[in-house]
Amino acid sequence: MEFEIDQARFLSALSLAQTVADKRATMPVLANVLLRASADGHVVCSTTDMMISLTEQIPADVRKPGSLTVGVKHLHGVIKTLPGGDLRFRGLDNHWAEIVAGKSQFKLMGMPENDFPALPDPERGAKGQKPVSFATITGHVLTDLIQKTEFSVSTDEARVNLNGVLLESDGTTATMVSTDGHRLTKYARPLDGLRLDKGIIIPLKGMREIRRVLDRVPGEVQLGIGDQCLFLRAGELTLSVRLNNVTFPPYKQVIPANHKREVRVARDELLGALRRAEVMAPEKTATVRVRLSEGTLELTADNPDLGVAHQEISVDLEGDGLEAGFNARYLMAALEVIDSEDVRLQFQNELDPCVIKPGDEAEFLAVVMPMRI
Amino acid sequence: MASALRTIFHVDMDAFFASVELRDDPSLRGKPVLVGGEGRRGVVAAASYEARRFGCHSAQPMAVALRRCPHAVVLPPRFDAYSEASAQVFEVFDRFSPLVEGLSIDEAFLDMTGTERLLGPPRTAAEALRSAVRQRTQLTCSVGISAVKFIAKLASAIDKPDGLTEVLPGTELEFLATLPIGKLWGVGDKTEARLREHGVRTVGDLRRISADALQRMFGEHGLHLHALAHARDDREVIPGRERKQVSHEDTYAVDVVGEEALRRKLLSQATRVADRLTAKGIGGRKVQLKIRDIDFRTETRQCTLPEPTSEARVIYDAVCRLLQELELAGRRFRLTGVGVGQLQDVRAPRQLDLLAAVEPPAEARGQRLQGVLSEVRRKFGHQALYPAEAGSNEREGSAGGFTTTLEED
Repeated sequence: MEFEIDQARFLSALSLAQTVADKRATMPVLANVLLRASADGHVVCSTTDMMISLTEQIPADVRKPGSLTVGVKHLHGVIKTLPGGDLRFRGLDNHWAEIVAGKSQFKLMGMPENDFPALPDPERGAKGQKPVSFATITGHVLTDLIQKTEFSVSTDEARVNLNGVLLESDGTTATMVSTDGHRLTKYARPLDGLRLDKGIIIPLKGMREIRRVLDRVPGEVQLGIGDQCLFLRAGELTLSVRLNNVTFPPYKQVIPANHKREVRVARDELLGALRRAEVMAPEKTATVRVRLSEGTLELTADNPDLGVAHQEISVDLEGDGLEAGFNARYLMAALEVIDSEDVRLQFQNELDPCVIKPGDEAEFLAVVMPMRI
Repeated sequence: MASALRTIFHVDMDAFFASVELRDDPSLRGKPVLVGGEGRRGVVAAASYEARRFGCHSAQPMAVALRRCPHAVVLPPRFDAYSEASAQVFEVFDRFSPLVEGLSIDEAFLDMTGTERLLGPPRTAAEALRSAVRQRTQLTCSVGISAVKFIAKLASAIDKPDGLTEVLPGTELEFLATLPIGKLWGVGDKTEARLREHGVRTVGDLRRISADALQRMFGEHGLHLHALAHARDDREVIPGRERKQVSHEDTYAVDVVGEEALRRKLLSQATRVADRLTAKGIGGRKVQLKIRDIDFRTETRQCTLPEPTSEARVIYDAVCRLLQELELAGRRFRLTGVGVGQLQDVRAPRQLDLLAAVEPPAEARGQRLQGVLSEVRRKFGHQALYPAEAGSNEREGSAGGFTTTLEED
């Protein structure tokens, strides 16, 4: 195998590839990138951690077709330090790779292609299944959906069905929902073209990878949902994400349908007060006490080991007063993804979930369960 | 050594369980006493000094202990009595220092720095402490005094029982020099064997090996050993007692065969663990299962629950799920154990679960029920009320038990 390739183009492919590769895997080859040079003037770069796979096709001057895998971390490290312009990549005996740029020469130890696992192929579904059909969608809508919901995905391995975001789409509106059991975030946006019979659960690492791909390739992208995998085609990139084959909890049942009290407050003011309170709040639980009375929201963080922080904010309150405990970080995370100037906080009683909505009618809501204090 | 000179006491009760038995039954005085499970596979939990003279010691199989001392009196443990004595001892400790770090039921570190004007020089304070313990509990203890934490612990063992050893500041290296390396914290059989290959027998020998060489041999741990050998130990006395796990293990006289029989044992153990958690107002998220077969093959499995629990049923259900992961067919088991870790105070502010209604984890009602069940067992003994599946012969374990019944109330 031998090809000449543009350093910057190669580097951008490897930068993305190395976020997928699994450097701590029990299978050493998963820390490698598979490079396949074909006679039609392309090099295909592939990485996988068995759950997520990424391939990118880069134009190259292929002198001799062939394939090889090398550790992506070090290959990326080498290419990053080379000057711009063309570099030459050559496969040597015993799966060694040689990289030459100007007067620099590197040799990296690689592995044969046979050791690299086969990647999911949208054209050939699992055993006799028909090829996956793709819908064309606007990339930045997907990015926005992910950005506003990924923070409340559970990382608790004991709750597998919460380790991803639920995506539902009826052809005109797409909805993403995530919950860690203590809070829930739901965000809907108009999105044409994607029609799903039932919701799919995209694991957290997959969401992050989708975002990275969409950051690289703006504009329209193709999304296809197979039996076990989600496929995303963006420009020369193909990403596949194995879906969590579990059942998402019936989330609609835990979103309160009505409320007894509603507070309207300036988002920045509440967020600032929470940030200050969090400094004093107990490290582990970040417990703050929220007290609502006519025209005022009081926020208190009381830490027996440290001291007390007390703040007051002017608000519009509809309904009776209330006192409840919350994890300040949960409230902050929800407020941070809301763009509107004002936010609405809806309560029932002190042990019932609080609903946070933007002041305008945007299709976003966050449900935060209180703490028993 | 820390920059400012500290005064640290290590207080260790003498043959604690056995001493409590001797105190409560004076007819046992002068006789060798072993506390522990009587069965063929019982283990010695404590040996009186009379029994130790015959080569008996704690953690020894009861069968071995009885071979060495056939005329020993074997008593089943009475954990209630020991807990009560322990609580009294710790009350005394608290009177002497605000910084008490409990290591177990019968030993603790006390940071006595700055108490001189109130209690006199360290040796005087230690004598006062020893006499206060004796007065309160009629039990003896041994005290080690040093400016360095681990040396205080080594010192308390020097003059046992009923002893007092002070390692004066500046004499630490001298004290350590002749000590066998096996006595150092963190030197187990394997480390000791490797050090012996290099001709290291005492802490003095260890001091002659460079930090680099020790690091090459043992990695990070080697540097730790190097520091200890030079009497460097900056660890402070951390008040309170951080429990990592509450667990219950039994070694059985009769092999346990079959999944159903195993489950019965595990249910009984889950119940005991739940009672102890409930009594302390704590719950845990990590549940651990341990089994050992007659070939001494030990297997452990653990899982994490969504919410901390102190409920027997929740613990038992988790243990049963873990049991599924193990190959049980054709094996005979001699030991089972149930443990709960990642402990936290269930009374502290607690995050409520949003999904409780749609994905019920541990119900609050279950937690309340557990409170009542545990309280009944605390008052009337663990046989007063137990899950029917656990069977009435649940007392086979080496931990033995006490047999308070409802009628005695």
